[in-house]
Amino acid sequence: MEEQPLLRVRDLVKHFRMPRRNLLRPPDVVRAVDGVSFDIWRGKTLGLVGESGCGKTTTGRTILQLMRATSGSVQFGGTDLCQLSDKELRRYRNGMQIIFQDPYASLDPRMTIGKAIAEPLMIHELSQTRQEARERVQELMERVGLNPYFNNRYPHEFSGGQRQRIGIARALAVDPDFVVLDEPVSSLDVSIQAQILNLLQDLQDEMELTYLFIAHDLRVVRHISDRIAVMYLGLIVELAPGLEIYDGPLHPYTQALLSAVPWTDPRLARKHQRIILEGEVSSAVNPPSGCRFHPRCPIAEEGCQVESPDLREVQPGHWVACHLA
Amino acid sequence: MGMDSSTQPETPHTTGSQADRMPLLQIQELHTQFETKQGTVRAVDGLSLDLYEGEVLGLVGESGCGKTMTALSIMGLLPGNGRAVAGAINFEGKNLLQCSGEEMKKIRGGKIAMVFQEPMTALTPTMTIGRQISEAMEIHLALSREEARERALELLEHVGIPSPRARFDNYIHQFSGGMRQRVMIAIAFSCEPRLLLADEPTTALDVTVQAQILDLIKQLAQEAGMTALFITHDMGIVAGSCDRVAVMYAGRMVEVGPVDDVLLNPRHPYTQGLLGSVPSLESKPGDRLYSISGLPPDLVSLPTGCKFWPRCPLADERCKEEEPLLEQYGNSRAACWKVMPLREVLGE
Repeated sequence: MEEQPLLRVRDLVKHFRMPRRNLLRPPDVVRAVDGVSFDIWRGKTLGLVGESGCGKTTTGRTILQLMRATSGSVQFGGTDLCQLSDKELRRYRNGMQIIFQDPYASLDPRMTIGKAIAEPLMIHELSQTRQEARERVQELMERVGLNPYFNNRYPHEFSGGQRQRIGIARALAVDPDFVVLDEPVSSLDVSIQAQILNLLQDLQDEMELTYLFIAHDLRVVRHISDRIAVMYLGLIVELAPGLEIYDGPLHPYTQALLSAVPWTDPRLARKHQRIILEGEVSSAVNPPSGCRFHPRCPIAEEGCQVESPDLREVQPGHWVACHLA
Repeated sequence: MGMDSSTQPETPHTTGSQADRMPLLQIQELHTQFETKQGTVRAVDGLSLDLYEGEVLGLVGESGCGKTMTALSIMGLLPGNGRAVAGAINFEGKNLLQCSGEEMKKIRGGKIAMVFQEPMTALTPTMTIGRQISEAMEIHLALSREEARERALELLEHVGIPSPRARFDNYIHQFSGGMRQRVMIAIAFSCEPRLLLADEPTTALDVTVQAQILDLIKQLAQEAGMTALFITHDMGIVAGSCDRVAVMYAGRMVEVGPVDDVLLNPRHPYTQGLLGSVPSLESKPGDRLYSISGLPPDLVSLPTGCKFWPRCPLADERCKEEEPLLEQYGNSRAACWKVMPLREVLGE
């Protein structure tokens, strides 16, 4: 862990301004990401988990500069992407790719998949001739487990798992270093999910890819991640090596999340005491004072409403933001 | 373990004394089909399944395996040109497939209730949630408007809606996902049904809310001594919430038995594959997951023999030609020619 991380995110903030409802009052601001910091080392996977609305997707897109950060920095191989102009960014774009939950929504229904996979090659001028592009597409399709024979077919002719393979081939076409995977298997059936997870792991090993794996299924995240960050209302509340977080979660929110994981072993399901959280996630427009988790926290004390806890290292490599941990 | 065992009625695992009890719901050789331009889609293809009083049965399988169509056949709510073309669904001495539209209306929401995956599409957006709950009770329980209102308020409180009086006149879009599902559960339980069908009731929810909702359904069903059919794709939900589990593949049941037996000692290679595909607490991160190769079959042109053979690592000539029937193995039943060799492989 001594070497420089490939990606270094510091105090990343992304706020969205809501449409003004009342002329006399300032517009509401959704504090989607509100000061997030972490590192990812080359060839490793950071799992980013949390419930809907916690800011995990926004974090991924802001890192890729698909939306510009409100403040903070994203250092990618030593360059702060947040400081670059759109034009300067183009040079870095093929180093970073994203794979979406629903590849169908991200594929043009009127473009054959062969063309769709070749498109990034042409845009980034990675293939000089059509012949070269064709060969590369064939190679990519084979690599992700698609029959190259089907390159003239349209997205609707493929199943969900196959479409996700197309999405992966497209992302890998430009030979990236870093890939954001945003819920890449959550809309797939379990048997297909396993195929895609295995493929992603093989590709990581072969190409030394670095992943930010965003998901809400803690079983999948445990399987694929080296380290895991848990987000709640725009902030990271716990960050630790994968197994450590499962063996000894320190933040009460992480503890509740993990106790709710539906493990497939019925003996475990009976033994596990579920921590049922009261209520639902608060609004990101007016987050609670102090620790944002305090209204739902089973162990909150008076001080938790006042002071916001910092993310601090309590064991080597294990960070937690809780006054009581 | 002969062929004759396949004709014995299945028994719930709890106690032997329940073995001779009549099932509350009995599905016999159900065939549900859709006519399409491509041909006849065999959504449910000869399913037989018994549900015993007071049990929670999990019906699992992947998209398109026929689990939702089974529930909709029970409810008489098949979409489009879907039709239950053969078989019987016996409930309280009646074959639901032969009930008239009027009879089914009385049963639906009354004796049999259903909770859907997406409450937003199952509830009326233009009617207050209070009205939606009390309407069902006015119809099925013949309560007066005032009585129904009081009871609806109790129900809302019981399912955990904060300040029910204030929320009574709200519309469904004013609720969060978890709260919507609570409203739908309140409606489902309002007429004290004997049978609850829950179709992926928590799939659209976050994990912590999912746990809340599962516990709520379990608690309410226990209080009312209700029988429930839990449709899910997630073996983890089966492990935590069900007594027995039936695994479906291509419109048929391939394995059924008590949850502990099926999940800890799966007999059918498909069940084994499903369980192996989900990362567990024992699996080491980075290990390859067991994955079932290929895709589910086209329901218009099903393979001959065992429907799973094109994806099965153990399939041989017999599997391609002859269809296996359900047979008893220990406490569970499975339809596979290869179960014996499998057990030998595992060294049992």
